[in-house]
Amino acid sequence: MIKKSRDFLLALAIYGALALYIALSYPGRNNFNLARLWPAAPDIAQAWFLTLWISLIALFFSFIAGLILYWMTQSKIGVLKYMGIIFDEVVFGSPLIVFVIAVYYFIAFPLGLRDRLSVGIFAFTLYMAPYMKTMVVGAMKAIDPTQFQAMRVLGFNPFQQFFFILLPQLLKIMFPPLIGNFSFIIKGSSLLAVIGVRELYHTIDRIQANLLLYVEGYLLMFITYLLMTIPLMAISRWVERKINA
Amino acid sequence: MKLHCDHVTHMYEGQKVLDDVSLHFENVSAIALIGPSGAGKSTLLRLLSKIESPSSGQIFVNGMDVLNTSEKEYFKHIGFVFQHHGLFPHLSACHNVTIVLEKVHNKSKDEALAIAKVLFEQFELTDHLHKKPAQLSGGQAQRVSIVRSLAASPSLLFFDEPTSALDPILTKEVLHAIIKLRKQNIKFVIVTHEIAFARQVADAFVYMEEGKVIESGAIEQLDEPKTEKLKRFLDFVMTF
Repeated sequence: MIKKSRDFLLALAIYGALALYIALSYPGRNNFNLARLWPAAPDIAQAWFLTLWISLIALFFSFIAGLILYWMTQSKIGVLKYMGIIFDEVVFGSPLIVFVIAVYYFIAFPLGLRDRLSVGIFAFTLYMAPYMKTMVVGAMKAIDPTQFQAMRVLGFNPFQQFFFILLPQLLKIMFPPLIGNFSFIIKGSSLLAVIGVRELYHTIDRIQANLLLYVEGYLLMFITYLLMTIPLMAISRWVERKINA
Repeated sequence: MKLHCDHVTHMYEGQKVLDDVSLHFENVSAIALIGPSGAGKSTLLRLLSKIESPSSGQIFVNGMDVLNTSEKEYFKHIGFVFQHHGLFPHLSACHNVTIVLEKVHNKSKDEALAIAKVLFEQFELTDHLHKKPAQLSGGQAQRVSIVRSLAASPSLLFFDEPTSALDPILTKEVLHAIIKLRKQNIKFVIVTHEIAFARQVADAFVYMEEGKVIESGAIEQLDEPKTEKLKRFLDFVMTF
């Protein structure tokens, strides 16, 4: 334990030294003042929570969308199956930023949907669905095939099979990749800035332009996103240990 | 039990795994399906239990036309014990049994628990009521799986080599449980490699090779096989 802590602190110190070197050798270091961002703190805090909120909603809906996509691709109805497969291919082949713009201008705009936040979440949900589906496919493979036959012979209907037998097992198996996807969503949510959603990146970007504090702003972006993702990873590891105990 | 198969043929991935199987049993209690690996015993069991449907032919079990009875209806009458126990790993041994009674057979929580407790006691599993499947030995898990298939009082049980994944000591444990069922006059069809056990527990047998039924009849017939193939098989398995 002591050795572990020592190694961890040493690793941290090396990164710290590197950061210090960059700070000291930075050309504009005399003008650098993080405290000048302070007046914008309430806006930044609000945006931080909005980003977390967007990510949580997108996580929830994309999980459901992923399940629907899973059922579609596994369906015996050919049309549904191919619709699912085509959707998969389109999403996997698109960069997130392009997909968000495409959803906004080619789907939401013609349909008269103007609420950028909802459209952003909708786009994100669609984008994450195939990733969630892939996760479900992997988790299903981890379930012993005898169980599927047992459920059938014991008389469970498909609804009962899914909610009483499969889902509790799937959630446990899927927890680590689900958290991975959540972290991906948080990081990807910054791209919603392109359609004007006032999340963390967009907000700090605006403040940078207003207060002319570019370097400070970039550093703050870096820190605020890490403040979301690192605790999340720590919590997930803790929950994972609990459910496997 | 009554069991009739008429010209049952089954293809799997272009291969004929069952070839024109016809069987007729009336008033038997336990049938043992025996034969070398790959003979089609497990396939026949899966067709009898409607887990799979044959490519052609007809099957009647206890007067029910298996192919024309709905899954839901047919599965009410049978239980199936798999090679690997197939218990739900997130539920305790007890809950594995009660969930079937509660959700499928609409029993109350108390009723389900009462039924489960009686069966757990019968199969000497009371100490393991609250254990998860991963905490049970292979033999215990297989016995819980027997209890689970018995809980809804089916009129017929199917066993697909229930001891094939177990070591000799655990095998004995499970075989004793099955002997207990026989004493309670529970009817079953079992695929097994344990010939001595089959003699003890079954009153009829079917001997298969390469998808065909070579010989079938009363269990005593194993003492004086009519076909050369069965004789050779018995001589071979009894040598070791």
